[in-house]
Amino acid sequence: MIEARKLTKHYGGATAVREASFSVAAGEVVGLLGPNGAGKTTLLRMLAGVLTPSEGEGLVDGASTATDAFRIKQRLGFLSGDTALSQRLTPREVLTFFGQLHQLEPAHLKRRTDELIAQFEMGAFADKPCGTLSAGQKQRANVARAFLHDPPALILDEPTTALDVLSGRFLLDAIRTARDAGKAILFSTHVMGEVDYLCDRVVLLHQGQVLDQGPIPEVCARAGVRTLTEAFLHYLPSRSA
Amino acid sequence: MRWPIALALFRRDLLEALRDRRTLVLLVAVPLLLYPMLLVATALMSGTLAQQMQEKPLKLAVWGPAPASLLKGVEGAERVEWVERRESLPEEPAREARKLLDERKATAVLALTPVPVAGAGENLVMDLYYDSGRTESGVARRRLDKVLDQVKLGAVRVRFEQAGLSPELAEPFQVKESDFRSMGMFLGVMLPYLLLMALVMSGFYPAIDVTAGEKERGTLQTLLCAPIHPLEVVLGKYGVVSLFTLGGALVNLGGMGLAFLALVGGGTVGRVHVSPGVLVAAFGALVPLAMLVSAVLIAVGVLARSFKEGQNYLTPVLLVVMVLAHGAMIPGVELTPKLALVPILNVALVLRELFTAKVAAGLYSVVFVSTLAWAVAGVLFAARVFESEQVLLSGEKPWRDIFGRKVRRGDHFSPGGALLYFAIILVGSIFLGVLLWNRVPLWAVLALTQVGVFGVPAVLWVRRSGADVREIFSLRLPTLRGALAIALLVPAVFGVQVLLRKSMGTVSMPGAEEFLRLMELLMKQSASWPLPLALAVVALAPAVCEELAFRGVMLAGLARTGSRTVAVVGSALAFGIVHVHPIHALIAATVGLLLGHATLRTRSLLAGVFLHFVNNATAVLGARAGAEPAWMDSWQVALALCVPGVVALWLLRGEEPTPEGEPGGVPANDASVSLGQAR
Repeated sequence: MIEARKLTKHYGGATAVREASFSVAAGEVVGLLGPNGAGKTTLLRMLAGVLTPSEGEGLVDGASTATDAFRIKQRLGFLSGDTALSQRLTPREVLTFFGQLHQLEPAHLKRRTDELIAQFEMGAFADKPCGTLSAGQKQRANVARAFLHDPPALILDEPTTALDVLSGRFLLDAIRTARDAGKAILFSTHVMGEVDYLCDRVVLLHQGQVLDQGPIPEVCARAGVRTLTEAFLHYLPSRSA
Repeated sequence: MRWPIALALFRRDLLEALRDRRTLVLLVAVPLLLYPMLLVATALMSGTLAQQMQEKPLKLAVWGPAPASLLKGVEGAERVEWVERRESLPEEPAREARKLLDERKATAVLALTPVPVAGAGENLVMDLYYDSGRTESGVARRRLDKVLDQVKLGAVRVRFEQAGLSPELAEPFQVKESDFRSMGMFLGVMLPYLLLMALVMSGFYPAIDVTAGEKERGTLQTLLCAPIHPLEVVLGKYGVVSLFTLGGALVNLGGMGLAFLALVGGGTVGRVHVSPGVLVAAFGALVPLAMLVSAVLIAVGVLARSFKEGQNYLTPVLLVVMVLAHGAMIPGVELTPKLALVPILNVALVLRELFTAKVAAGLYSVVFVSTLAWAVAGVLFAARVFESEQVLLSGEKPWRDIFGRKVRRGDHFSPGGALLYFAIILVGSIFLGVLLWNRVPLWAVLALTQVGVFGVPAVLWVRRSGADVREIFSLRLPTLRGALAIALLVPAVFGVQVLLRKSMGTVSMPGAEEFLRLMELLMKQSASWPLPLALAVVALAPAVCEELAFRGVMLAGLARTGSRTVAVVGSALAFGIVHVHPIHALIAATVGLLLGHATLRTRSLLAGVFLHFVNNATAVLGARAGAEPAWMDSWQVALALCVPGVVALWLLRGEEPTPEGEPGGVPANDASVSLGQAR
């Protein structure tokens, strides 16, 4: 459903991502792990069709970043720490606006908006300007925005950053529900607990390169350690040196 | 390009901007208060200051042998204070006088030197020292001038009497002054400046808000994840900023109109006249400027990564506008055809002329069209900036990304490509026209403009794109049915023009007389050329070159919108605008509709070329035949000429038109071009 094929991005003389390859199947959550500056955001932006790959290609539900980035955006829900909501609009207005961009029928859009407001328990603040909401409330609205057009694939870049435990858990449960509904989810985070709780497989990225990938027990076994955190630390110091 | 999406983006940005109260205060409240305050303040200040200056005493020093009549005359004048009176001159009168003036002990110093006159006593040479840099000294000088004139006149009258002549002969004429300038001129130069600055300031903060502000808030990133084209984003934002700049212009003009019409009888202050007609004309001149300013504001604004950075980036834009608008305040700078091409300054000059005098419709049109050309170029530049992912994602070296990108093959035949081509030929035709005018014969101006601006660039544009020249230019013969329709359109083209001319006479359109005079002049000139030359430059060259440009490149590019209506109307409008004069533009645009429709339906450029040639050639031959027959100038004849046109349109309906979205064999753009792929 989501596939990276030797995705590479150069910025001038520097290479942010080098020949990254992995895939995410329908009904699967894959965790993308890497330290700050590993190239996670660049990689996810390329897969979302926001950034043009220098080499290689990304595929989302059959659409290629090389030829059809527009259709990727139609088939994908993207959420990252950088994707904020308009401060002067309410969550309901934000959802309506993005529904229009996805060309949803007005009646369907209204139904879907009400449905998401109920699902993400946003009734109390759906008509308040986003600028007045708490971080958790904003993130719920943002997740609802990414889920709005019911995409078969989701890319979530550190979605729980700055959230309290309750809001974070609420979001993780929503992701699990989406996975159970058959969506392919690529999930980037720094929190190993979230990976254990949520991910079927992981991809370890460092300095723009994929170091290892697979189910968590296999990655740990290859590193000769017991936990994912130890596996993470096992790879990074030697590569950074 | 999907208009509903652009509209949704526009609505979102507008809603956000309107919820920012600072913007509303700046846009509405300030202009409504500014102009009444300015008017009252100007009236009060000019009156009060002038009165204060007049009431100040003239502190005078007089050195040298002054005749009694002079001293009596000066003493008799009101508010004169003797500072110093010496019978002899100091050694260095200039230095001493300067000292007195610098120490503010005197406002004027008079040094008298007797000069003997053979057989008639002596005359006096009066050296008057004053400081024009000090207002009170300048006023003193003017007052002293009057006093000395009276004294001098008295002396001459005495001499006339002594010579046995009538003293009345000493004053052969009297001058009575009425000064209307001071306040009027001040307002006349200030109003355009204020209007332009208000226009820019109205769009300044909204532009930062929807570009750099949106980046800083992270909402642009969110937007880019949605399935939208960069052109839709730029149009939405451009629409909002244009609305604010135009709204700013409108509210400012409204405030000005209210101030003048409510506070001043008849809207006239000195030489400044503000009437509803003047305000409408001023708004018309501000429309293309608002479009240009808005495009520049968002193109520059989006380069910044934060609101603060946006202010830093846009401040130089504001300074450029200030400097150019200030040009209209410089004495001696007049609106000429060359200055009519300089953006911002041209509009400032037009506004100044509108408020203080009358502007020729032709010059007004040049300003309007040239500013429109700059605006089109500005919009295309903004669109290019918005296609850069380095700019939108706040990456490094955005300039390399903007200017280093190659134009893709086929981009020339996108609607944006058509607009770019139009901007180029519009600027080219105006600049070349101004450059050649009065330097080479008129026939050479026409020929060079047609070939150099329309013909050759059209062919080069198509060749550079790699598209099939024969297909883009629809180089094929029409069917028999198509040919019959074209033949029937010939009288209709004339009929439509007569109808338009008669309608203009009925509603007394401004500039109509000027247009008819210009056309008469052109036709008279062409009548003096050899017939083959006249036909070549007035009929053949436009028929071929303009058709290649408008029914070739423009029609093909605009047809890529997927709408034949947009293609025909757009190319006709472009055809009209390039004729500059508003009346000529209206006629050309109307005829352009027929030519475009016929070309698209017959799939043959020959339709446009033939109709264009017959129309212009008839005008050339008519000019040689003398006055137009009176029967031509009637509604009935005009309507009768249009009848075959109705049949022609019916025949054209049966023709297989160029498929929508595929003019000239260029496949339609795939609507799903991503931000990255648009590179």
